[in-house]
Order: sequence, then C-alpha cells, then structure tokens
Amino acid sequence: MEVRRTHTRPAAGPAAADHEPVAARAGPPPGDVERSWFRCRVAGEDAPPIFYTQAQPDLDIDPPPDADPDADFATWRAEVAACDAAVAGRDLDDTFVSRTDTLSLRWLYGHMIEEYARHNGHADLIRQAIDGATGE
Amino acid sequence: MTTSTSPPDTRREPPETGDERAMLAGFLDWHRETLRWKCAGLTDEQLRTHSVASSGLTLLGLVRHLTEVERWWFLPFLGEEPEPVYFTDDKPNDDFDALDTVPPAEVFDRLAAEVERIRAGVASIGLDAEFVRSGKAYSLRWVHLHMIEEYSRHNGHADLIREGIDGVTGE
Repeated sequence: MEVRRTHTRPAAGPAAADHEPVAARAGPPPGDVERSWFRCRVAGEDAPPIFYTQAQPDLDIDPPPDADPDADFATWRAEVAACDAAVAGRDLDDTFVSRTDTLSLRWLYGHMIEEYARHNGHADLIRQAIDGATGE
Repeated sequence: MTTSTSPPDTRREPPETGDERAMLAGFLDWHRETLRWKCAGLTDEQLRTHSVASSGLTLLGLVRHLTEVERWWFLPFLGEEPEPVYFTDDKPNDDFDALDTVPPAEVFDRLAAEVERIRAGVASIGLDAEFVRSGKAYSLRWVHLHMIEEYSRHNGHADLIREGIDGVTGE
C-alpha cells in the first residue's frame, strides 16, 4: 500500500529524532491504530495498546522524551506485518463490530487509506519545517 | 493563537457496510465536505494566510488546487479534455499561489459546481470504465481511490493551516 509505505520516509532523515514539530501532530507511527482496528476489532485478538496507557492516553501522539525512534519504527513495521497476517484471507464484505457500529473490512481499508493520507499531510508540513524536504 | 469554536459540522459519514461504489463515493464526499468545513467561518484574508511559516500553502490555494485535480481526473470520463482553470503552462503553480485573481466566494462556488456535475456525470459509469492518458489506462475505481487519498492528504495540510490561523482543530 503506497500510502502506508510513504510513512517510512521520514525515518531516513538524520533529523528524525530531534525535530521541532509545527503542531502537536508528531509522534511515533500509527502502530496502535493498525493494532486496534485489524487485530483487536476485526480479528478479535486481545492485544494491549503499544504506545499508550489508560492513564496516559496521548502517549502515542506525544511520545516521552526517552522514546527511541528506531525501536518505534521497528515496532510499527512489525505491527503492520501482524495486521496483514491477521486479516489475510478475509472477504471485504466480512463485518465486525466496533462499539455499537457494524463495519465491513472494505470500510476499514477505505478508512485506513484516509487515516494514513491525512497524517501524511501532517507529516508533509512537519518534515518541511524540520529540514525543508518536500515531496508527494 | 486564539481558540475559536469549530464551525457547524454537517458532513455525512460514509456508509459502513455495503457495496463498493457507495462506499467510495461516500468517503470522497466526506473529504470534499471536510475541506469546506476546514475553510468555514474565515475571512478572505485568513483564507489567503500562510499560517505554517515554513510552507507556502493556504486554504484558498488548496481549494483552487482541488478544483484542478477534480477536473483533471474526472472530466475524461465525461468526454472532456480538462483545461486548467487557475494555472498556465508558464505558471504551473498559480493554482496554489495566484490567490488574488478570483474572489474566494467564486472559488468555492466553482468547486461546488464542478463537483456537482462530476458526481452526476459519473453516477451511471461503472468503476471498471477506463480512460487512457499518455499510454496509461486509469479506471474510475482507481480515480475514486486516488481522489480519496488526494483530498485526505490535503486535508491534513488544511488541519495544520487552520490550527495556525485560529486554533480550530477537528477530524
């Protein structure tokens, strides 16, 4: 998925670890979004949050000072692989329940494309503010 | 930065189950409406403001750009060759940058009119229909997906630009 791959690009830059975000939109890659949708809600796994806790629910988007970018990127990539495996072979018309809503796997793919694309829009402006790099 | 109240939100959520066509159209319409929502309640001057210092992007520039993008990808399915509205061969970034050429109200009306006729024009065309440009074939299905990611990404830009203007946030 091109949109998903695009999110790996900022990791290549030397400035990834010491940036000044233009707004409170920085943070580790969306490993928890992937996990909660594909593994927990679609596949029914009891997988706990990766980057945040109930007591500190914004730790995914506001990483602690000692967060390790290399480790976080590796965790996210592993989560993507686990999510792909968790839904492999399912039909796009398969449904699952999230709170009180019944949703299809087709809807979830559509949603994840918009989720990544929108955050990649945030990443565009954050990266440009860090070192001037741009590119679709 | 001041904190303002979000403008009224009248967007319709896409369908959560059911056929592919309604879902693709629903996601795309949601993002078309999201861009309008991100621009709502602002003055012409605010719409032309580069609020993220390191970026030249503005909300009005995004609306002008998306007008071009809608036409570029959908008009071939209506049998039309898309001519640029806001830029020229000599000035290919004028959709983003030449913000004083058309009043903002006219820019919003133009996009709404383009979307309305595109929506009506493609409604009876199957997702497997294709057009060929520069030797490459594009299906109407691909164009829907591309437009969803195109709007979503620019709405991500709009998120930060709007927050920089008046502090308003919201998905």
